[in-house]
Amino acid sequence: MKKSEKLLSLKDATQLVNDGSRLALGGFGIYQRPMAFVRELIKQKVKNLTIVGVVNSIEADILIGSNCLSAIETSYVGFEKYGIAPNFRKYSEKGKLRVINYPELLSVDRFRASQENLDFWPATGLGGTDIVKLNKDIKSFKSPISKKLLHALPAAKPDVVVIHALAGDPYGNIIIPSYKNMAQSLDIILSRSCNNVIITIEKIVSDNFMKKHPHLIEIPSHRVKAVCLAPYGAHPTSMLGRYSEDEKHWVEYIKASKKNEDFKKYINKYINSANGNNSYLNKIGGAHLSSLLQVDVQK
Amino acid sequence: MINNYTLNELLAVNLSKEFKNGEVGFTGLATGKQATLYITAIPLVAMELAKRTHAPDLNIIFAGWIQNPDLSKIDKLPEAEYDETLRDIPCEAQYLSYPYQYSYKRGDISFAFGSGVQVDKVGNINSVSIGDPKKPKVRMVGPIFLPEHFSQFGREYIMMPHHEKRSFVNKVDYIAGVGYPGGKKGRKALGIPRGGPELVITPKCIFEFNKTKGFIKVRSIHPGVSTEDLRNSTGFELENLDNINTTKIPTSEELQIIREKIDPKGILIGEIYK
Repeated sequence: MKKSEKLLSLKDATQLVNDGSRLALGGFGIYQRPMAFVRELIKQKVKNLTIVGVVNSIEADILIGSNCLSAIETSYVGFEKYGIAPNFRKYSEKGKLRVINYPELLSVDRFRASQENLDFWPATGLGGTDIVKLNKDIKSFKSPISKKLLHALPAAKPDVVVIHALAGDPYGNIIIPSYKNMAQSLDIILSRSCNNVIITIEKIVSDNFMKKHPHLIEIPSHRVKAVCLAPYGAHPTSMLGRYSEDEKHWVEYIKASKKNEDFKKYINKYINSANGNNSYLNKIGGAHLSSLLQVDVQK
Repeated sequence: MINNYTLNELLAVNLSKEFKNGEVGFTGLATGKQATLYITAIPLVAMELAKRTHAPDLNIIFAGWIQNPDLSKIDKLPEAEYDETLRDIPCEAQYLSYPYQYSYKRGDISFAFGSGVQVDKVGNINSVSIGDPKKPKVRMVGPIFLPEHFSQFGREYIMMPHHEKRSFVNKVDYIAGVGYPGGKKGRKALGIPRGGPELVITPKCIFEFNKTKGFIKVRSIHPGVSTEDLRNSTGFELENLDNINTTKIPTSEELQIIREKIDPKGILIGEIYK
């Protein structure tokens, strides 16, 4: 019998994300976010999502500005060296976005709790913070062993996880190169924290290539619901060892997101009037995309 | 003989004396240029100086994953936590997986540096929002790693690039990191395992804490700053400053190490004297 392929178009894969879902998006900060998938979510006008995150940036800000998001659980929404996230700031100050603050690395532990199928992660040291005081879902308790005061952080419990990765096969075996950073390590944790995992990949590779690198399959096919081909799928964020962030596009995005009118124009140009990922990439331009390519020999 | 010094050098030299041999110092990257100078560049120079004067076994963890980078070999201060500039800095070790090759919850980090928009009298810090947190007047980036900095690390050096009334307040609008409410005893009652703010470094002074009673006080005022200026730029009441110390100025030898060995290209803290 033949093995089942899990290849879906980005459009079909977004059907796995229902309105009101708890969505976790791979990557970290301004690195390796599944932007092609996010753009398709915006095109499909998905509503009332909650992002459950760790350190968020443009992948959250663009969903906020497109009215797809009603809440976000995170430690940070910002653009690091590029400054504040304009839509995030605007919508939170207008009371149009519910922001639930969590500490940074304990936000990762919330996914580790989900990976272990636990309801919560025990944390020390959160007493006295407004993080605890203003969040009814965080419960204080005494360790049954030492009687120390601890706080139970609710597990992340994402309904859907979307990750952008380098390569994989049509069956859903996904390669993550051994030279990793935080973004790639978190992707691996995320992929084990949920039973609805969608992976967008730069390239589908041959069975022979996969068999040559079996030790790099960090996400095995049985953990994956759908695989979508999305070259440059993290643009304008960077992809470790493959392409740098697109500074020019970041600046364009930030400029556009300051005024509602300009932001609408941006979304129309790059998402609504684009016919999928390839059409988006054509708008960015092949020569410009080529200029972002990196040299990396330490994979 | 070098007898002129910059504010950046003054702060780096005074900080460097705080670090003990064998400690582990952690510094991340910031949002914005001034914050980067205060929580990344000045701390890196201070730690390098400590290594060269009295603490050769100090381990610097840069951006959470680069151990003891060779800063004299870089052309510009990295602006991104995870990109090829940082990847290619010569260093002693790179921590590539998460959870990292160290355990911050076991107390591996001796000290770190953090910043926010408000610090209050007991040393609480705010990087989240101004006004009612549910519908804030100004929303900032979020608590980030500060809750962990203030409860899991041995000491926190609060680095404030601006000394203004609105940043030094009686009570912060959102507590992201906990200072000394009720002193050290108060921290213990809250279940906080260790640490807390040690100093607050500003362009005008260095604050320290009465950790028993739990309040902030001026440790020293920088040369050229008047007590009146300090009071006018601070939003909470300051104690009697009549006999307050002046921040110790760098020696010629310390300045020479910084300018010739640590920051020869002037890309870390040297923009002013270049």
